Amino acid sequence: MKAPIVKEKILRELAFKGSTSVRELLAQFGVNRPYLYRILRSLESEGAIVLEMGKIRVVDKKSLIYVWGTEKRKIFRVVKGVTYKVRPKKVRDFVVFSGTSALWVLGKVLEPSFGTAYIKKEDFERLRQIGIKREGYPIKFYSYDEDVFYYVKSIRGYMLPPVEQIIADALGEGMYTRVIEELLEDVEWMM
Amino acid sequence: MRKAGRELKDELVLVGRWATYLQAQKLGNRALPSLDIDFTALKENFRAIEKHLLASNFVPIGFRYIKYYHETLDGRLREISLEESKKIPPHELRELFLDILWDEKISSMSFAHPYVEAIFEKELYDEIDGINVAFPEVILSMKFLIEKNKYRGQKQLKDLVDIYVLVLAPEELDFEVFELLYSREKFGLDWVIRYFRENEEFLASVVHGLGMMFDREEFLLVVDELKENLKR
Repeated sequence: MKAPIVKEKILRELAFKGSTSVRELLAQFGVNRPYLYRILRSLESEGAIVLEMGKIRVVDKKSLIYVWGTEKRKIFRVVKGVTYKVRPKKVRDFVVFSGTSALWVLGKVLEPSFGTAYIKKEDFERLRQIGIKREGYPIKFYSYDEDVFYYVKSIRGYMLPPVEQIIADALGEGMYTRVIEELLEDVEWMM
Repeated sequence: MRKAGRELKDELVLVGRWATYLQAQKLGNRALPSLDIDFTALKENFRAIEKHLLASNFVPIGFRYIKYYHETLDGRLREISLEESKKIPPHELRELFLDILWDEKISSMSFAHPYVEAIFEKELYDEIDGINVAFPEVILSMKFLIEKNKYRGQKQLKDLVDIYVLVLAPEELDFEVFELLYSREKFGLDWVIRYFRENEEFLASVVHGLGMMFDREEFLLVVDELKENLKR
C-alpha cells in the first residue's frame, strides 16, 4: 500500500485555509486533475466541503479532520517512524510535537508516551545521541513530512502544529477519547 | 513581607512559599502564593530584628509574629493594634503571620534550623525585588527536610506543588548547594518520590492551573540525579 502523503498535504491545506480553489491546489501540489477531483468529490460526499465552479469551501471541519485522521492511520501503517525514549525538553528545540505529545504539552493528557513528533532528516543524529540514554518517554519520530515545520507555533517552549494537525495525528495514532471530541468541538466552534 | 524584607535586608532571608513564589516568578514560572511569611535569621541579630518588627506593629505571640488588620466592607485592610483587634468581630479580623527560623533557638518557643547558618555564611540567596530570597536549592532542601516522614495534610500537598515548580524550573539546579546543606543535616528523597506518585493526578491539575506543563519523567529523573549525587 502506498502512503497517502500527498492527500494529507491537500487535506492539511483545506483544514488550515478553510477555502481555496482547484487551480491553486493543482499548482501547489503538482497532482493531476482527476486525482484531485476524486479526493474533493469524496470530501464533498462526506459533507466536509462544498465544491462550486472550481472554488472549494470547508463547511464541516470536524468531518474533514476525521477524514484526515483516517488517512493518517494509513500513513502510519506504511511510514514507520522511529521510537526513541527521550526527555522532551532535550529535543524540543528541533522537533515538532503532535498527536498525543502535543496534547501533553497542552495539558490534555498526563504523558506524551507513544505520541507523534516530526523531525528534519538532518537532525536525526542529534536525536539518536539523546535517544541512546533511554531516559523519559517513548515517542515516535517521523521525518517524511518536513512541511509541518512551516506551520508551527511555540507553546510553553515546544513547537506545535495547528490543532487540526494535532487531532489528525492523534486519530492516526489510534486515539479516540473525550479529549479529541472536546478539541473537535472547539475547532468547529472556531469556524 | 516586602516591607520587612527590604528594611531588614541584611538580617533576613526569605524562605518558604513566598520565596518559591518569587524565585518561580524570576524564572518565568508561577507558584502558589501563601498566607504566611517565613524568614531565616541569625540569633546575633535577634534584638535588631525584633525591635524593627515591634515598631512595624508586629506582635510576638509564641514563636511567631502577628500583624492584625481590620477588613472593611469595601474590602480594604487597615492595620490595627493588638488592643484594637480584640474589639473587632472575628469575621472582620485578618492576621498576617511572620515566622522566623533562627540558626540557634532564641527561646524555648522559637525554632532553629540546621541550614540557616550556611544560608548566611555562604550567601545562598538572590536579591529579588529588594529582598534577599533563598536559592531554589535551599528552599527545596528545607522542604525535603521538613517533610521527612511527616504527614501534614493539605500543607504537604502545597509543598509538593512548590517542590515540583522548583525542580522543573528552567534553570539547572546546582547540586553543590544541595550537597553542602545535606552535609549539615541529611534529608530524604524517597518520600518525595512516593508522595509524588501517590498525588500525580492532583499535582498535574494544579500545575496545569498554574500554566505549567506536567512532566512526570523529568521530575523523577532530576530527583533521581540528586539522589545519586548525594550518595557519592
